[in-house]
Amino acid sequence: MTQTRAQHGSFDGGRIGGFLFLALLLALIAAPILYVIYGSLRTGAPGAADAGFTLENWRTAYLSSAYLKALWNTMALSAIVSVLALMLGGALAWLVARTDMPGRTQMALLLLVPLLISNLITTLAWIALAAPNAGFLNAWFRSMTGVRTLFDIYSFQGIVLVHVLHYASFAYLAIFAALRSIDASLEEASYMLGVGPLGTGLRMTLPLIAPTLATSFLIIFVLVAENFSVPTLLGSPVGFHTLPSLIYQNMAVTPARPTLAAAAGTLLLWVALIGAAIQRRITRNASRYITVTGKGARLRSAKLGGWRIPALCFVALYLFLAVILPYFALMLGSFMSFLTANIRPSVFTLENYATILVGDNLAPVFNSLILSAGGGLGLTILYLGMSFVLAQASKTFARLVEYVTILPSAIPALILGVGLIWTFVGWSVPIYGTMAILLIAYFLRNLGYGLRQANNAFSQIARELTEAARMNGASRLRALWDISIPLIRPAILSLWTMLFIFIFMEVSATILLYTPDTRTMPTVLWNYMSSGSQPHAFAIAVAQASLVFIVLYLADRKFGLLRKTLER
Amino acid sequence: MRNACTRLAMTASLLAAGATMAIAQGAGLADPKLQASWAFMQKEMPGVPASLLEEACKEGRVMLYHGTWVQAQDAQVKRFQERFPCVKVEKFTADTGQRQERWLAEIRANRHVADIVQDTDPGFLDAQSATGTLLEYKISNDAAFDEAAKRSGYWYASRVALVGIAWNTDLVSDEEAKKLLRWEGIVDPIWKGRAAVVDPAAGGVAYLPWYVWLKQYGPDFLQKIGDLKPRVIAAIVPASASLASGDIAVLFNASETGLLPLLDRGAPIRWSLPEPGIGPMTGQAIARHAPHPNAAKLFQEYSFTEEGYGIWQKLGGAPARRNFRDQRPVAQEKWYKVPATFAPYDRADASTNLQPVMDAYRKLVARPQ
Amino acid sequence: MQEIHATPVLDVRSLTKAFGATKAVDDISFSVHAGEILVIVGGSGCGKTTTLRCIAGLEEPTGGEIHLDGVLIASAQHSMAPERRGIGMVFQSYALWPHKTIFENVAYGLERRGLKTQEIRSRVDEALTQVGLQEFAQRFPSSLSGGQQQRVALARSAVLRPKLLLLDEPLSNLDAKLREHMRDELQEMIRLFDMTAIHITHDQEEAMALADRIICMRNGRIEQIGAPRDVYRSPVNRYVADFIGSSNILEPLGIEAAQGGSLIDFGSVKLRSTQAPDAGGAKPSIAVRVEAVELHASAPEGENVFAATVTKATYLGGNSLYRLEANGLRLTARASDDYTCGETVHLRIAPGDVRLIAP
Repeated sequence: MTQTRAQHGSFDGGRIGGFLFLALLLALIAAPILYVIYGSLRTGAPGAADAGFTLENWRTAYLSSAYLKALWNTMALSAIVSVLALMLGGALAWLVARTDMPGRTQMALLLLVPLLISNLITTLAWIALAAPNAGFLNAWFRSMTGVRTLFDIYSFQGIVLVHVLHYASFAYLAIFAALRSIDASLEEASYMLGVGPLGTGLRMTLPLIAPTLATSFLIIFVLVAENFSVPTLLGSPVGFHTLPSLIYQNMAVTPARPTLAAAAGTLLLWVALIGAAIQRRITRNASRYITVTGKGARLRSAKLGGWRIPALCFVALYLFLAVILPYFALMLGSFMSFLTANIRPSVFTLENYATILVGDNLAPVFNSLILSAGGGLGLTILYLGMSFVLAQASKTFARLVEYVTILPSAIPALILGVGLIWTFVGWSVPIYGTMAILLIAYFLRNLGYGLRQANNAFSQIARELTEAARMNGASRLRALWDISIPLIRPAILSLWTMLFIFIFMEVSATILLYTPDTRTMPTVLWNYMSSGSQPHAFAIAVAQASLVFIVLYLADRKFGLLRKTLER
Repeated sequence: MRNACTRLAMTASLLAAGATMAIAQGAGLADPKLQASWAFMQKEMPGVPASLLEEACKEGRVMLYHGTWVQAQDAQVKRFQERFPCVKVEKFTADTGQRQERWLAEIRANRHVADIVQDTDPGFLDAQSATGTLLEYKISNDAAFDEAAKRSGYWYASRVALVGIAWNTDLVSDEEAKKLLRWEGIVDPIWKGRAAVVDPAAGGVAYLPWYVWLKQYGPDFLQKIGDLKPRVIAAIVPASASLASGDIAVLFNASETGLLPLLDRGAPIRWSLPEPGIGPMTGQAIARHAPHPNAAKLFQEYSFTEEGYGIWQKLGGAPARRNFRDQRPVAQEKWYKVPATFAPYDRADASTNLQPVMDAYRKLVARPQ
Repeated sequence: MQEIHATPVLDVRSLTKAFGATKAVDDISFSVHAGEILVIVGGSGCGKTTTLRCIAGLEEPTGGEIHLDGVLIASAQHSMAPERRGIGMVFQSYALWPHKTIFENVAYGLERRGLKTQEIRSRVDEALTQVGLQEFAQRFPSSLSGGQQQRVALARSAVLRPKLLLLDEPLSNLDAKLREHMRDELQEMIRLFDMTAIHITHDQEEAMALADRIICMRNGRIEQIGAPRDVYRSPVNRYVADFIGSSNILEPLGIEAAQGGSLIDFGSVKLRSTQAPDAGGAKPSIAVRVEAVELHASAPEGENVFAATVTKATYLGGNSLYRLEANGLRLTARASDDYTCGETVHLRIAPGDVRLIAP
């Protein structure tokens, strides 16, 4: 009896430890958000001596026509981009993961390249390409046909184009991993009934990856809603403003209005909650979609037949628009003294690269690699751990947490950064001014995505598989390590890959929180940008994308990031 | 890696310091390695005691919170470190609003990181000197700055960011460009469909011309700008890049912040600086609770010496120091002319009028479509 | 057996498991003795799976106690982790780990116990040999047939020599023919490995074939517990009668005491039962198993004989299922005789097969 009780004790200890871990993370999530909400109700920043309570910020953000119009624009833009990006990314993922399209293995990695340049740089590259008068593309087209403008990037369509090309790649990776985990016998049943590849894709495969689609929809929706650089740069000429572009202005004007920016930031929280509710509805019956059972999974490729070449052309067209064109502009621009469509020998220079390739810029490269590879792995483990602990909590609590976790991704990074400063600047614990605060920022920025991906990954595995391990003498953690982790490896690698890329590209929050010792590559890029040197910024962007691609390529070679997954 | 580089640089300068020491005989400095630094101080910072140097060296570092003009700042920092190898300069670079919020949050939490703060809004620095977040320190070169370019004992102006009308010389003929020598010229119908403006919401330098135009010429002027349907660009840098690339022909509220780097790189642009001139200053001050107060004072001193200021100014804006010869290559250009008079401009008034100016702009220029 | 082993292997006392307001298992008690195969049978949602999971430790009871070999392993206060209980389990889906070979699957539990490589190898080989799969050791589960996978699942549990083996409908994923074959094989192997087992199923035939004792559950409660034959012959209520075997459940017009039991009135037909009128409680129904209804071409001797018309005949191979009507009394019978639809037949039901049961 006594022995028995002692054993119970250790078991409960593990559980208590799990919940303490969760409580700590929840506090970490709540603190900056609460600070932002608190700040939005003040006349001055939290802690300012002469500040008092006010509803003025909320009145402006929630009732003025400018903000409501911006809210509407934000929602419309996010919804359109999310749907288009999912359709495009889903098609790409299916072609690469589950068909016999020629060249699919080479394409698998190339399709991630659009994510390797930040939204800001992509936008600048597209301005260089498709500015109405002097864009490379428009100038070339004019010289060929005499038509003044082929495509004007300063438009709603331009904003949608830049976002969709970027996020299709994001959707692609998530869906790719999900498609790789599907037990082919489910699809085979469909083929047996004489349904063709397309029909099977739509009727069988689509419902199976519904949770992944729902999550990707939510994340793209929230990230687009949160982004300020694309609508600010491309929307201003046509008077199109989103909430983050107004928030950016509130921080740019003198004197800055951080409290009004915070109030406008809270508006986006509601947007995110609505998105999370929709996602929740779709994933509610996730157990219906268990795809890894104890009966073994096999993969199967759809035979495209006569559609093989058109499919390849489709993927190639995407790569042309999302990779070749913007990188062409970036490369060209990085060798120019200044960006111009009036190309002549005198505008070319090597000075940009000579300037950025100095010893002083090595530390940021090193920091970025450490933060994104090491930090990315750490966060992957953290999200998996959270998901694992949450799976043992009550359903209501787990659902509540899932809602809460989308919030930090929805607050514009700028405001989240301010919230983190407000939270940690007064602490004596060495977080503020160290790499730790950057990691916390990245943890929060990617939480909505990371936790959901982890949840989806776990929900793909039949519960019986881990229970069988426990009946064979494995503890909960041991079963996680021996059974769950190997089985969700594709999803884990895809999560790590995505976090690696996201962290490497992050600048909006980093720019507020870095110190001279924790400079990252994007902060260097940003500083060149803001001191008026786009070609320098382009050179760094090229260097950055090349570096990230090399790392991914090597990881793919070594760990089979995308090539070999569950192909037994 | 970076440490190794720094160490290498330090060794080199120490050797250099040793060489100069043989020439300039010491004046009561304990550490002979500081002789070269001290000699420079005696020449350019009259009256500053040697103890400041010694204390600064003990502190060993100084933290600078600044904004744009990264190249100019880098050049100045580099020369400072050559002069004073014992003080390492670290920088935090960010946009104005974010930099201010971070600095203020740190002060409120009694966490003092910044030694030197720069701001493109001297009104902000005025307010801060009143609330006591700045250290009172009168530089030895105080007399070289006019009252408008300093708040004596607190901040001193490192530059004037002049605002002008810029055009692309490939797209605007010299004849047309003559219209752009006066502010009134921008409302000429010939610019219809060819011009751009920077949104005043971009803040700072972008905002000020709108404030002055509204005050000086009234709403009618803004109305006429709106009639030209200028392209609205979100910030100074992309606007300048659009001008250089030839995507737009004229930029009505251009800033030398964006123009100078492009001109240096051979972009086909020119600009006029019409009367009355519009040019907000960037001020630099020492934080009240600077963790390295002596190093901060030394840096503040150096920034406004003939040499330190000159290095800065060569790559920065128009000089704010009295009787200072403009070091910039552009100053040698025949077309370049700094305005003789400046628009009367009360910093506090400019801040309070932010909303009315923005409202007028939105109604008259960026008309809802 | 009860006499030999005074302490049961498993003792479940007043086990209750509630999910929110619903009680999936409601105050049930039973025990399992060494070497015994206990089968829990019931429809979906009857609580059999929850009971099994509580015993395994995969669910924590909200009330009652479970003792294994005399040690308390679960109560509302604490529940020993499943990996510490020494109980084996075969899952409905077999739950073979797709990323491990057959050998690795079977060896896993032994590795967890920290056995030496040499010993693991010999024990796994032995277990695989016993289930006839030694040549598949290096294959992955997905390349095995359903029956083979089930044998691996059994070997994986058996190799640990658990105090108790739990089987969660392991046959339900197999097609009908294979199921029957595997059922026999399963029984043999449980005997071979000399294990004590609890098997749950919704298939009464499977329950009958495997069980030493049967527990019939409904709505979280035990309806009846006993040897298969007893439960089959003497269902305590309508639910059990319906569930175990196929029975005609008839509603009588009246019941009166008669010599040697009771006389049951169905209007035109009256049937005698060996049970007393109060055997099925206050308002009993009458249960007659389908194979207890005898069909004769001409009226036979004996009691409870009456004529009826065949309204439907379904040939099942070996025997047929007949739907019959006798003056408004509808009956189903299973017999090997060959009658056609519309024919008049004579029925006989032995009084011992007319059971009074609770509704």
